[in-house]
Amino acid sequence: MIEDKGRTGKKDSTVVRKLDTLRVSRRSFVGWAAIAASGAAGTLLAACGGGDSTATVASQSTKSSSGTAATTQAGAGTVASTSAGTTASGTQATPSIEAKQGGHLTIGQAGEPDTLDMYRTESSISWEVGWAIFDTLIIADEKLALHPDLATKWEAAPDGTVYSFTLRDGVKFHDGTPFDAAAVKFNLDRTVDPATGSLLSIVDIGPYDRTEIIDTHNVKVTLKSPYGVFIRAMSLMEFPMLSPKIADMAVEDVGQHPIGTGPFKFKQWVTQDHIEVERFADYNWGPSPPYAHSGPAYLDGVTFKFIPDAPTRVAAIEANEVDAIMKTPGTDVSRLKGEGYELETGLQTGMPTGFIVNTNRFPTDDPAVRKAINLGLNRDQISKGLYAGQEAPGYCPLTPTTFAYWDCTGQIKYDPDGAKSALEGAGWTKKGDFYQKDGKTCKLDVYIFGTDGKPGEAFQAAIRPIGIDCNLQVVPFTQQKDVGFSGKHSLMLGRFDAPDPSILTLLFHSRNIGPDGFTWTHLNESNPDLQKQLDDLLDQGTNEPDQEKRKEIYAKVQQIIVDENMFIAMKYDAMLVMMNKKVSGWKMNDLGYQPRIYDVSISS
Amino acid sequence: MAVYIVRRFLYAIPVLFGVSILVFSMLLLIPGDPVSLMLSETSATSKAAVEAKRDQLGLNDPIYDQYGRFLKSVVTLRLGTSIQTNRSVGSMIRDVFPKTLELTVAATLLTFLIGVPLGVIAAVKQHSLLDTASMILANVGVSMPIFWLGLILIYIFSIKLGWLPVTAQKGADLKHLVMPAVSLALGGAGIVARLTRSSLLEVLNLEYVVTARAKGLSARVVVTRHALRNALIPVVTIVGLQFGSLLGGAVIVEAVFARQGIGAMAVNAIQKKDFPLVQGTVLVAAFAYVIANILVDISYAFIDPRIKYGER
Repeated sequence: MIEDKGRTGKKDSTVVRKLDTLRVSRRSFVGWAAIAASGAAGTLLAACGGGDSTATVASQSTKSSSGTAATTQAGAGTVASTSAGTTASGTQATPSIEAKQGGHLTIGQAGEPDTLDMYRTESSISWEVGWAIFDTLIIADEKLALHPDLATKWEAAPDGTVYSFTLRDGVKFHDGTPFDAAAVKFNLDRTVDPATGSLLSIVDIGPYDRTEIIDTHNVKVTLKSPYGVFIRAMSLMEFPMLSPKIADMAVEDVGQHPIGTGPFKFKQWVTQDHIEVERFADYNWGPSPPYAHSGPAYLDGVTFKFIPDAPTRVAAIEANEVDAIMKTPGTDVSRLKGEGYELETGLQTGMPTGFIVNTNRFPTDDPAVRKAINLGLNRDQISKGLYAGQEAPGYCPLTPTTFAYWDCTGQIKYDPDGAKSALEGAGWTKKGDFYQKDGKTCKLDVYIFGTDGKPGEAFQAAIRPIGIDCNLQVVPFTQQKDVGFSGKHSLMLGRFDAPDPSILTLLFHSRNIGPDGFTWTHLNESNPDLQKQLDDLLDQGTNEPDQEKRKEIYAKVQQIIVDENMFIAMKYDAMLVMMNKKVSGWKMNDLGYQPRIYDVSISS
Repeated sequence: MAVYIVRRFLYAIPVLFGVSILVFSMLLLIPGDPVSLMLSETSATSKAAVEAKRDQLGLNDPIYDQYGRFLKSVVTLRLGTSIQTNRSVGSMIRDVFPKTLELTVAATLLTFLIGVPLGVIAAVKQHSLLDTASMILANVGVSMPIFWLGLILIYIFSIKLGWLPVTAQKGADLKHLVMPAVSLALGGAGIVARLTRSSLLEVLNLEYVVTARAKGLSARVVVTRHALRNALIPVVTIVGLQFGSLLGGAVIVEAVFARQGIGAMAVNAIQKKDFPLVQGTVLVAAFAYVIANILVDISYAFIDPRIKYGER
């Protein structure tokens, strides 16, 4: 099933940022993170150039008319140039570089990358390390605006199938190979080569056809069909530029001895222990924005130490063995702050942690019950109880840092009285602790996947005062799709990280119903007309190149999801990074969990 | 003696063969299609991708072909290719197995060094305060969960006192081994202490011990030279069996102390559904267990002369 109607000819797939599920025990959020993972309509098109990308594009207004034409007609492809950015910040940054230069940073990572071949991996931890070693053609800032990186300029042909890139001059790989058009062709061709064994990049590159070398610094990429997401995809760590010399390496070595153009050179990988990188002294093409300085990285080197167990990561920073730790448990944050450590929070993009609702099964087939859950769920209690308030209560179908987020909090807020009157208005009466209708108790089958049932228990405790009972099931991940497709659930917990609202296609489009699909609302059975309407809107959102129009389309989509209460958000996930006072300049990137280590400095 | 040892090793061959068949069948016994399981968290769940992966793993071949290939990979020590890393499973395991060996050997030694003296003291001073104290200690050791003990040790010795590192540091000495080995050993040490005590008490009442005492030998010589040697036979058996649970415990200890090791690798492989790596780690763990038991059998020959002389 899941035949893609539109574009790639492949399965419908939205890029889902999977957080690793490396550990077994005692961790709250990682356990359910990997829930999602995959699937569908590559559509991560995000805020590029058009209206909101600031200085860089503005400085470009006098550029060629063809550039402007491309902007208006294709939207996704935009023109930009770097020269302004680099020179401006270059002069300012120089004096402070010397002051900040030096030192070695050790980061306690929540796990080990599977490979450092970014075209093969699906692991967020690989991408976290990847940003130290590699550059991409385009880079996004925290506001999701796109900026030039190894490509100084790009434009889309009016029909949206041809993208031209002008490449930065003077860039070379860590092995000394110059970066040029041939390197771009090598990397993009390699993505779709079956021998590469790519799982995610090959989907997100969409209907890629070929790359032509125009001259040393100009390439033309042709797609088989229009795919507005392409430019946005080029800003992800799934598409870094690798040295063409890797073609001579054994496949397993590519991921073990990566060669990029990034601010740090790969030095060493000790299995299950650490990865070490060292400063690439020739690096002077760090794009600004989003980076705050130019020239080589401040740090002499970085060690990514693998400490999968959260309490051990916390102990390691307290024992001064690492300078920073990723994925700090929320319950440790305020204590560590009290001990003088600093917190940097990255906010997840995509869909928050929450429950997908089955609209075709008692009792959630009753809209009043769905509404009662959404209004009656005390998210504050859950956020404080489980995450010590470090991860915010979630209400809407998309997280606030996601492109095209639509604020639903006018409609969805904690309102226990509203919840009860919704139930009573629909003919439910309270008998004892719980509501009943036609002799049947309002009891939800709540599915949690993985090993950590705590979020389910917290939900159970938070919804019981409304008069709704829960039958909690904690089952292995492998059963997720089976539960969702067969519809055994009233609610099932999931978290779907993604860089773009097109993630909603994966969860709500009827195309993604099936044993391999991720659409588990069963709306096609309970309300086929609405499902059709939703499908149309989701398709428009995927195809529409104009970003402002996409916002409007996705607002309508979110409105339907909220009106129908098909998704009960629970919390907006956060990547909590604790670091000691010596570390400065740490920022998270546009996706919320990947650090920009290039700007980090450490004082002795 | 040599015949005895050789025979022990020969007996192990069918066992190892059986282990290899069991490990191989893991892939066949998984409910559902292992390939879809592997790919279910990826974007490539299309039929074509599943078929390509099946071909790549050779799952479309007859089972005897697959088993033959598996055996060959075992013999060549390559053990297949890890799905996650694309590296040979053999080389991944070789990277980390020495660390697990280091940990389990250290823990085994500690089990002995802590457990036997505790048991001897308890037996010799039966019903005294010392007896009660050492048995309480042994019970505490047995009942403490390893991860909890590990965290408590970290809290005291790394964070509060700053004596020992939480995780293995570059170029560090054996300091980093202390806490992992202790937390792994205490449970076994408790069992060994209790067993040594009961076994020694039994032996101390045998007639040959009474005779030894009657000969006027000192209490120390009676216990160490005459009684303990016999009392240790069941203890050695238990230590051999303990090796298996040490490998199991290593999974937890390696996670808590962020150590390299085959246990942590196996858990990770299971979670990532990296079947070749799961097979490889299980196979190596099973082999290690078999070899540990052969070593126990051989040590009997040294402890119990009846075995040496009783060769048929």
